[in-house]
Amino acid sequence: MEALVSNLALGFSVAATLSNLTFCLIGALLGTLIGVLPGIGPLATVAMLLPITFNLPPDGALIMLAGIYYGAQYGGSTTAVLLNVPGESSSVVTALDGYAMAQQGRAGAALAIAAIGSFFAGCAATVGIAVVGPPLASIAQQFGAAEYFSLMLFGLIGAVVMASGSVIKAVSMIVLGLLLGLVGQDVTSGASRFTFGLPELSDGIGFVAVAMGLFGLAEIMTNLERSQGRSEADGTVMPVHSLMPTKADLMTCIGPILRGTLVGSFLGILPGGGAVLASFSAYTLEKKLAKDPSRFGKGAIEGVASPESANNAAAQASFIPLLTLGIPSNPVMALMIGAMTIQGITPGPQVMVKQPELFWGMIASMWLGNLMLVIINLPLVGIWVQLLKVPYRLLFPAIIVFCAIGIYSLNNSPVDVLFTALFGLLGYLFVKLGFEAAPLLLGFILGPMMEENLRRALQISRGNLMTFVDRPISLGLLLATAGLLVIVILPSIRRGREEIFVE
Amino acid sequence: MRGLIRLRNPQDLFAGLFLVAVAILAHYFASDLSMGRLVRMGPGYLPTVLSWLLGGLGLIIALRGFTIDGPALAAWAWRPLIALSASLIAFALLLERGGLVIAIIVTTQVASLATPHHRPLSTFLLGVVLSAMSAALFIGLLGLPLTIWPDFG
Repeated sequence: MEALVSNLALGFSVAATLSNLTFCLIGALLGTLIGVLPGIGPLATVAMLLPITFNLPPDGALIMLAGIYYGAQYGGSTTAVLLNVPGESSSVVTALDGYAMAQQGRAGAALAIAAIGSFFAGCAATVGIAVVGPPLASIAQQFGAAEYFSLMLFGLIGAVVMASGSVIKAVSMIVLGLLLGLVGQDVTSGASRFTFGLPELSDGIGFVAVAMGLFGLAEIMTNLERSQGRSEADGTVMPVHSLMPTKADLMTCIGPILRGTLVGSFLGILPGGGAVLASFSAYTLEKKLAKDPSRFGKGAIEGVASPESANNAAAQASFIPLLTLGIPSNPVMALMIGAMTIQGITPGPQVMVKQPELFWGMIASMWLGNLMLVIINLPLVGIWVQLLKVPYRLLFPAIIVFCAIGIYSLNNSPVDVLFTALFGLLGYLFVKLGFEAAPLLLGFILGPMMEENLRRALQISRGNLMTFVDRPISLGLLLATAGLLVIVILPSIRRGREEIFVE
Repeated sequence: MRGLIRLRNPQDLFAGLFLVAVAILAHYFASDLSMGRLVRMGPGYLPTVLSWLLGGLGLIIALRGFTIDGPALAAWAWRPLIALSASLIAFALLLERGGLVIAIIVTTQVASLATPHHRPLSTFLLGVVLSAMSAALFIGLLGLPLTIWPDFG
């Protein structure tokens, strides 16, 4: 307990410096600004805003990125409530009751309860990280190369299992991501792999180009495609009258907020969990618990409070595996790993030991970031509403320009801009072929680390593959991975058989 | 039950073939790299193993094209695809030669062709505003080494 307090105190002393507070504020503001744009979710937002953090000091950069992430999530909820256009899959459920409330003239109450719920969830999850982090990190510190390899495999497969869509296609995207991650000079032998003689590729494909192309650019392409048939006016933005929820609203929402926070914190830690699953589960739970489930979808305030709390709790809890194990539980965390690597930080348990000010500073900044979101967003909601009225035909060229400048500024290299275009095309191709790009990003980020650990483990064991099975923690992780795969593959086998029988 | 082999899932067929093609390319380009052995893996070991794995998965997915019903190939919206890619290519080519302002104005014009609702004049104004903002933000504030105007010297 004492350690917890002194750790958090250290964290606040880092996070509450003027510069870090400013980074946190700018991050939350920019995240909301981009996240509020229809059709642009947190992943695309973080991918597009990555370059602006790279010139900052490491703690400032990570604090700002975290701020961008919550800001984007909050912005997505605003769009869901006011425009019925969920910017991301985790606010799909928010749109159900949120937009219904807005139609009844209660948009303000919906936004306010979303902010309050998110803030509470953020506070709880921050304490959760501070409590769970150190013991987890100390376990992870005993991990050898074999355990790390198995853990990463578990993380990759776990992420796939939770993702919607076809498992085999997601697994192939992981493999493709792993292959792309191998591009560049091999660390051990110095041999060039898949570089085609291009000097730009000797350090590997830039992960910002991959992320921005696959998520940012491809997302804009599909948005434009969807809106092509439609006329200029995209929809009507609901007006916001009073922001204050009534006392009755608040009383109804205490339970949903608490339950949403619990569900979110738990699911956020799991690989592949994260915000989407959390908000869906929380919404379903509330609907089951409700005395009158038919109110849901027609403007039930619990239907906003609970998923919003859950997705924020999950967003925050997903930092636990990242900061303690160095394993991303979702694609946004994979981007964080990339950002940490660029800053010269190796994600993993040693961060907490070697750079406690960075670790605890980030955690404290999460709490501050959530507070800022409440303070800045409720009064600024008018500005976001105005922003929603800007026609998309002016918005997207502006986004393209900022992305292009951002990606160029990383290495002052026009080639990076070309790679972004290439990955944008690839991302669009994936959409058309029914592939999800998120597993590819996870494989791409984890690939080099997995190869390193695999090689090291096999070197230590003198080429004996049994090392992965002989070591109990590694064996446990591998069994869990196999279990996950069996669970997801079985129903599809059954379905396949049924199909054959029908024939 | 008309024929034994019938294309039921065109999307998966092409998805699988795409993966197989990538796998073959990867295998080809990895073939020069030394494999090494398990105890000391060479640079070619994982690329080769992964390309086999990818090819296998691709084959299974392609075969599903004949066994499980699935969506047809979706139509491609070429307009946004070409316009957005071209706008980034234009930016990459123009930034260092033509300076920030010209790069931004051309990029916004090309990008806005992605929608049939584009209006050249308002896009031009957008380009001017964005140029001013970018110059102030990226060069003035963040100090990026970009030139604003083309270098005639």
